[in-house]
Amino acid sequence: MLKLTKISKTFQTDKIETIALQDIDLHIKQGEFVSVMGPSGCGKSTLLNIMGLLDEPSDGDIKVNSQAIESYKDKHITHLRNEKIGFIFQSFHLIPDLKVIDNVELPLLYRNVPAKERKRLAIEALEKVGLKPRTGHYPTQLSGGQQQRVAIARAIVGKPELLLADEPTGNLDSRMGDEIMKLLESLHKNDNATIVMVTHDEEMAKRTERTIRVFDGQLVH
Amino acid sequence: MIQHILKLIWNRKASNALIIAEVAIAFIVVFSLLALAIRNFNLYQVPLGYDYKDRWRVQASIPGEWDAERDLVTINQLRAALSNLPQVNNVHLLRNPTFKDWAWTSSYDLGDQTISYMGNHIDDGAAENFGMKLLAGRWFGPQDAAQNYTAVLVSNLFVERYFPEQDIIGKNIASDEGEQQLNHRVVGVFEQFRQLGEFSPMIPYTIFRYDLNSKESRHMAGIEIKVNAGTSIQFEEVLMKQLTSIAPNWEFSIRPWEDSRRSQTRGALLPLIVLSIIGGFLILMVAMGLFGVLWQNVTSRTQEIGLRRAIGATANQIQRQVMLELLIVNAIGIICASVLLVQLPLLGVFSELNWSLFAISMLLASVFMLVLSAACAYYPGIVATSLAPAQALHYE
Repeated sequence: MLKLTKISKTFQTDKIETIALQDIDLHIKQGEFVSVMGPSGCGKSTLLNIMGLLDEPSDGDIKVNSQAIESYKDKHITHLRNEKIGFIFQSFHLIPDLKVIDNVELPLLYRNVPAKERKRLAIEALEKVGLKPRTGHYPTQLSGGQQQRVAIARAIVGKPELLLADEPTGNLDSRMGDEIMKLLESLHKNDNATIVMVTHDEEMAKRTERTIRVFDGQLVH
Repeated sequence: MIQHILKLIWNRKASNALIIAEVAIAFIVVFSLLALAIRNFNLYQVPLGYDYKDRWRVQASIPGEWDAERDLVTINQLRAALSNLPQVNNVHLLRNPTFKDWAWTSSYDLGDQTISYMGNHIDDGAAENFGMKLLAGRWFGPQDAAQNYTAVLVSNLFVERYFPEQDIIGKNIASDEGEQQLNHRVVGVFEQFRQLGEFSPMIPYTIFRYDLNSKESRHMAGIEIKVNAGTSIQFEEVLMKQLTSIAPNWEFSIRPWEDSRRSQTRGALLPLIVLSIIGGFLILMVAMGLFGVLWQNVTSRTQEIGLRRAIGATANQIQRQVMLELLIVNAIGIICASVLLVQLPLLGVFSELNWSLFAISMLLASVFMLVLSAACAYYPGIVATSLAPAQALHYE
């Protein structure tokens, strides 16, 4: 599904060069549920950003469905992200001025899906995360757990092949965190979703099929 | 996408209100400046209705009370003497001078309308020699002397405004009120006579015949001479000597119409230039303010832009969306200002702000504001989309 070969990432400022990732080789198989763990600043989120084509590696190759990412031209990469990858962020990143249903419809908007179809698919996704009755609410009218469920609905509405979750339970209390984890487990089990989740929580990581550990920008085996 | 943008604009009405207010105020400033500039440009384009080249005004200052019987003799002597000079082509009388802020305006009731006009007096032959254009009837002539009417010439605007689609020639246009029944008979219609120069508003004009032989004739102190082309300013000295030799008690000043025109144009343009400079600074401040507000608006949405990029929007799509959103917000500001501004011609607050001037000023001001806001929105949009989605998502 996703293959990273010799991926490195260096952040360069005027005087300082910071190596965030070094020689990462990683293969995520179709239908896998993988967690990425490591201390703060070890490069977990950078790795997730590169896997999600949100950032360009300084070196190395990425293959999505055996197809190499040869060019990082905006249009090509954006299209790939829109079609194949769904994102779930720690801070939800919902647009507060849009209703729940409009937030969920967003990825479809950039896919030029007709309005009626967008609405149908958004309601279907919200039903999956148990928030169908909240379609007309604004994000600020929801609890943190509910907001994250909206974000998950937005991530799955376009039926992506890969879900990338950056500490999805990091901003939630343990009960709500557990709810979100159950939801991800159910998406994995029932829809055979491929999920890569960055987490700090050992207990959450244990509930995934495989855990990758990152330390100082390198994978620890 | 448009529906999505409209939804966003509506849901952000509180924060958009600031931009809308800023745009509305800026639009009113731009509209006012443009309307003023277009009004003056249009007026400048309208012909004066007479020829000012090689024409000099001799302004006499007559001591004591005007005595027609006595003073007209002197005026006639002066006319005759000046006419005999080889440098002089023709000599006429014009009561109120051209290109000076010195005019006779009046109004009276006639029938069910109030007639407002600017007036003047000229002698026979003056209109032809001033280069005025006759549209109907005839100029003044000796046949108008010693009649029971006063011959009057009226401008085309006078006819259009007060006697549209009527044959005005031969008509008495004096007031029909009061005991004294005057007879102001229209003998001709001329194109126009813009006495106060190129920047003066268009006003209905009437010219009364000045009778050099009538004891009832009013005060007259303006002698207009047409000098031969190429006559130098040194001729002024010759003229002055001639004038003072005939009327040693009178004081004279001589000035070419072209000089008067130049100084009047300067006088009219000066406030316009000052206003334009102030207006220019105002627009600059408005542009900077708008730029700041739009910059703030776009910057505060960097995370949202990052999210949109992450979930499938290209940089171009975001740029287009930001521009379109801000253009729509600006258009709302323009509409709000237009609702206020349309009251001006509706209520007739400024008589010169007619519908055509209003429409063209609105159109140009709208285009200017939309281009200005597009320019102001362009750079913040570029900056916001230049960040990688991962950076934009974590932008604080």
